[in-house]
Amino acid sequence: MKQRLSCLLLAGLLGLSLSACAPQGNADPGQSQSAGADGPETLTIAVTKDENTLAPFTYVSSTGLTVNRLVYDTLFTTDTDNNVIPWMVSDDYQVDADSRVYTFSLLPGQKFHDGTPLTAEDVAFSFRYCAGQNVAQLRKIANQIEDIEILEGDTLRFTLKESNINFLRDGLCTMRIISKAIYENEPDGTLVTESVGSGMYRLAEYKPGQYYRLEAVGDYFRGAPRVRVLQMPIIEDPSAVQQSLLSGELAAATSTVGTEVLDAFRSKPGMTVFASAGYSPVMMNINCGRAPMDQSAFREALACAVDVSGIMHTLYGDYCSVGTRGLVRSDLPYAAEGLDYTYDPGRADTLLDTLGYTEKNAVGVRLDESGAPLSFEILVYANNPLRLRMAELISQQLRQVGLDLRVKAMEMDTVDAYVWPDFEVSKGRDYDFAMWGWGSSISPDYLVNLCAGDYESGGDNVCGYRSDAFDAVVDGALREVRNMDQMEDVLRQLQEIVAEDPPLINLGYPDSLQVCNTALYGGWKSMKGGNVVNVFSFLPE
Amino acid sequence: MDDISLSLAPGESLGVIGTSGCGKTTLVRLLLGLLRPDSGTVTRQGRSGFVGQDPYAGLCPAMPVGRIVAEPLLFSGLARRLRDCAPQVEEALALVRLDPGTYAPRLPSQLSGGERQRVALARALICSPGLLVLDEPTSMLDQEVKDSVADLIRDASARRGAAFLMVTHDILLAGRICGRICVMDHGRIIEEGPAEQIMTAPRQPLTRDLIRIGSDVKSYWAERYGI
Amino acid sequence: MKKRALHYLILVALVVVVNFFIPRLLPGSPIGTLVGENAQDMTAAEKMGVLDAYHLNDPLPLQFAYYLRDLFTLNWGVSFSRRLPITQLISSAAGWTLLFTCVSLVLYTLIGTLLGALSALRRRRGRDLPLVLGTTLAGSIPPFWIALLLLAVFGAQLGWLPTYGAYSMWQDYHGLARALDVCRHLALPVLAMVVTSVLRYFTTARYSVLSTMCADYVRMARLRGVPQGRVTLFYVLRNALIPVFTMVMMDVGYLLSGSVLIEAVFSYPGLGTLMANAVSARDYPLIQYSFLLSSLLTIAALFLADLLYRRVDPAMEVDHA
Repeated sequence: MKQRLSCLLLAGLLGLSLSACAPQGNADPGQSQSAGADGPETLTIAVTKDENTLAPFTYVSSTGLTVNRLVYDTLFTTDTDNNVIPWMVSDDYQVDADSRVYTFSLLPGQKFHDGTPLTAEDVAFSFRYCAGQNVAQLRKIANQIEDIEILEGDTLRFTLKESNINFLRDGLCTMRIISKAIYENEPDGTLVTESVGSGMYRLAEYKPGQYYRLEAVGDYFRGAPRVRVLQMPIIEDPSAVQQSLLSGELAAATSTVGTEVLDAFRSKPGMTVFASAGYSPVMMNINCGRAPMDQSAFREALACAVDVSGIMHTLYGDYCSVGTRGLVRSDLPYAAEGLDYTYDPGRADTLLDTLGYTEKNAVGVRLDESGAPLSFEILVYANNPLRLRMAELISQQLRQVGLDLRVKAMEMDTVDAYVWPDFEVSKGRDYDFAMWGWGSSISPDYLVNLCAGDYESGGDNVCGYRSDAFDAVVDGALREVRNMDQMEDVLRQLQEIVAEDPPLINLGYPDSLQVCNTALYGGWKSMKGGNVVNVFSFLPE
Repeated sequence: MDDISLSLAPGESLGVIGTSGCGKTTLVRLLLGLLRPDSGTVTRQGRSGFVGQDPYAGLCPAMPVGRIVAEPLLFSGLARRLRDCAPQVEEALALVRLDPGTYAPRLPSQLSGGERQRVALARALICSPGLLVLDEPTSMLDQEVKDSVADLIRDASARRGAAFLMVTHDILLAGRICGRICVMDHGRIIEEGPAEQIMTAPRQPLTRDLIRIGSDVKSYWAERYGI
Repeated sequence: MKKRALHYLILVALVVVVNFFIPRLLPGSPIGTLVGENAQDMTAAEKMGVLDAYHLNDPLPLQFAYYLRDLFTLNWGVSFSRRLPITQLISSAAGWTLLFTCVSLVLYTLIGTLLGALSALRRRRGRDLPLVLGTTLAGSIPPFWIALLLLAVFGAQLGWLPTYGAYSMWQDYHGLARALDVCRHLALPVLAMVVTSVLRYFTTARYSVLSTMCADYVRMARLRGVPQGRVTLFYVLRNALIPVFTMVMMDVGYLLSGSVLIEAVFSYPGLGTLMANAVSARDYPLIQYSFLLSSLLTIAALFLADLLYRRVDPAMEVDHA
């Protein structure tokens, strides 16, 4: 009897494991099937993080920005090709020659979810209010504004303190418009618990830690959304999300999937993989202030010793765009040509020899002036297996040229504390190398933020990079720029400079891979550099 | 065992003496019905009670004394619930000179060796057995309490009208409390008779040796420790 | 007894103090949580201003004073990362976690102990090896792996049981229907927890019963003619289950904290997930109060065990202090 019981147990466990690997049956969890152009009644889409009430002052991460864009509108928005288009305002908006004065008129018929009409007062209030709030991104936008005038009708004129070519994209596409009536008596925006926006979906219910329920606004000024109800459970575990997608319980998720699971999805009918060009770079940061990395030739040697293209293709297959020395994604209009990485370990050896690191110890690691081996640590987020793998590959390649790189995996915030203490580059840094990434690199400001020596302009300069040539351009030519063409020329100059004198190794841009159930709903639209859960996926044709 | 014949009438007491390995434990087992003889019969009238050698092994560590003493009543079906046994438990504890009020709620870990054997005795006698079998009941007790426990065995059994058979290696103890003594060696009875007679006029050399050793031990304790 | 209570009070006081320091020992600061993702967009002065508003730049003794005041007036404030009152967050999360862990505890204690005791009582030499191997295998599997396995097979592939949440989010059930719904959502997480925890109780019960069966007083009881059933129940099991009791008390101490991994896989809205996210976000108040609650429960369990021990284990010395 005992034996039979235990044999059953063993057999059961084995059977369980095998069946988990087998192709899956189809389970319909109660989502209404789609037919035709009008879309299903409800869709279940997983949100991978609890973003509080989704309000502009309580959201937590980029997932929150993705979802709250459905609930709150912005004056302008980026379309599926990542071009800026007017959204809440009419097409005849004006930007003056200096990119300092912006004039636009609100389109009619816009209302908040509590029924009150959206007016120019609300728009003006939104921008002014954020100057006093603690959300860094919104505050920065608000602080750029000198004056807001409300002209007749629903026309507004914004005057900036300084000219800013990127204000349309960085400012007017980002600022969510809130209701003046709700926020004007509340000095701390985080304490407002109701989430009332003017977007195409209304937040009908939020259960902390559990789910959101969004309902379509029937008389939305751009047309009623095609799906009436979005049920959004909060599921943080990526494997759980994948399983639920495969079983049909979820129509989509706000998170991306890795390349290794694509085959499982591809083999299922009704599943479509949306691969959109990603603009989140993956890079290896170099602490440019610490010897021997403070020598430009040493960093150049590193750039030659790492097989950038090889690593990217190993980890992402074809779903990536390989990085260039210019640090700008090669398909952007202002990307400079001919700045690709060349994998040349021979040249790396030569450079290192020239620098004087000719002695090697018993295991082949080069020695520095004092006879100590050139041994470094590379910090990596412990919860990111792809970056860990990347660090290992880089470590192997650097070993070939006599440099010892040890991979040190640590918790996310701990790594941040070493690389970017308090998110202040002026506070210095304490690391040799670190696997790093940024959320987006589309903005023309990106390169300047990353490499400018002056900490005001170079707010993202976590490598502590200092190049006189670069700073000269930033202080000089960049300030003279008055239009996009001039901007692009200056950016190309800057790219040439960092290509010669590299601050870091720019590995590349993994594609954003998302899986959606197109059998349940056919309206998904992928966005270049954005999420498949966006306003265009739900707008009527 | 080789050709053993014993008989005990109600109220009588027998001490079985012998050194280790002479078959005392086998005899106990036969008497309790745990072993069957290869030939011959064991006839008992009424129930048997048993008190073992090890005061620490005889009692279940988790049961209070009242429950321990009541147990034979419960498992032999004479009583249904613990509450119903209270008067009998009280009587049995009084029999072994333990105050029921103080001792009934105690756990074995709170009792001394002598107290434990007394509890075991109370338990053995509670069902009014016809025969009480004791296997070296005092050999693991301290010298000071051996005699008092032994006397208690004799008195309690007499009051209950039980015959008792005590197996021991201490002939002086047997001489003190038993009516008759029989001496065993290698599975055979070598000498048997009234206790007084055996103690004063032993015939076998083994018996004489046992008496002498016992006396020596006793005088040693008396001289050294006044016991 | 009084001395013992005093020891526990001192322990509680220590926990309260250490709890203050735990979040502050973590590298990094809550500034990222407080100002959102693009913290670099704020100047250093602005960021200092934010930290000041939360008293995070005050000298440590002053912060400690605020902490004690808030703790004892039950004014626990609002979470940095979740923007909701902490009492509300913790009470709802703790409720779900307790439901999950208590049900699991009862099940795996009973099942493990029963199987272990039975396997010892009915043991013939070597014949129960497969059962021991089977339970060892189940107990060696990491909890999150078994959780994922169950999710994949019973949840996703077969669709028999739900794959996320504590209850059906999209239907409104009441009364019995709701109770059943909660049970359905509880089934897989509890199963995962039980499978991985049974082993400890199985082995403890088994070996304890085995060694008790050989004890002198058990043999003596048989010798005296006590019926086998009585011997098993009152002599063997009653004494053999003392170590099991120890383990149960220890597990009671971990009711609030031991379930993070399984909760994560099933998106169960419990305290484990809350605490883990609080740590990542460096959400000082939420870390403090959730850890405090968990520690207090552990201490309470220890205290309870201490009180009950004397009743359970008769071999323990009585404290004559």
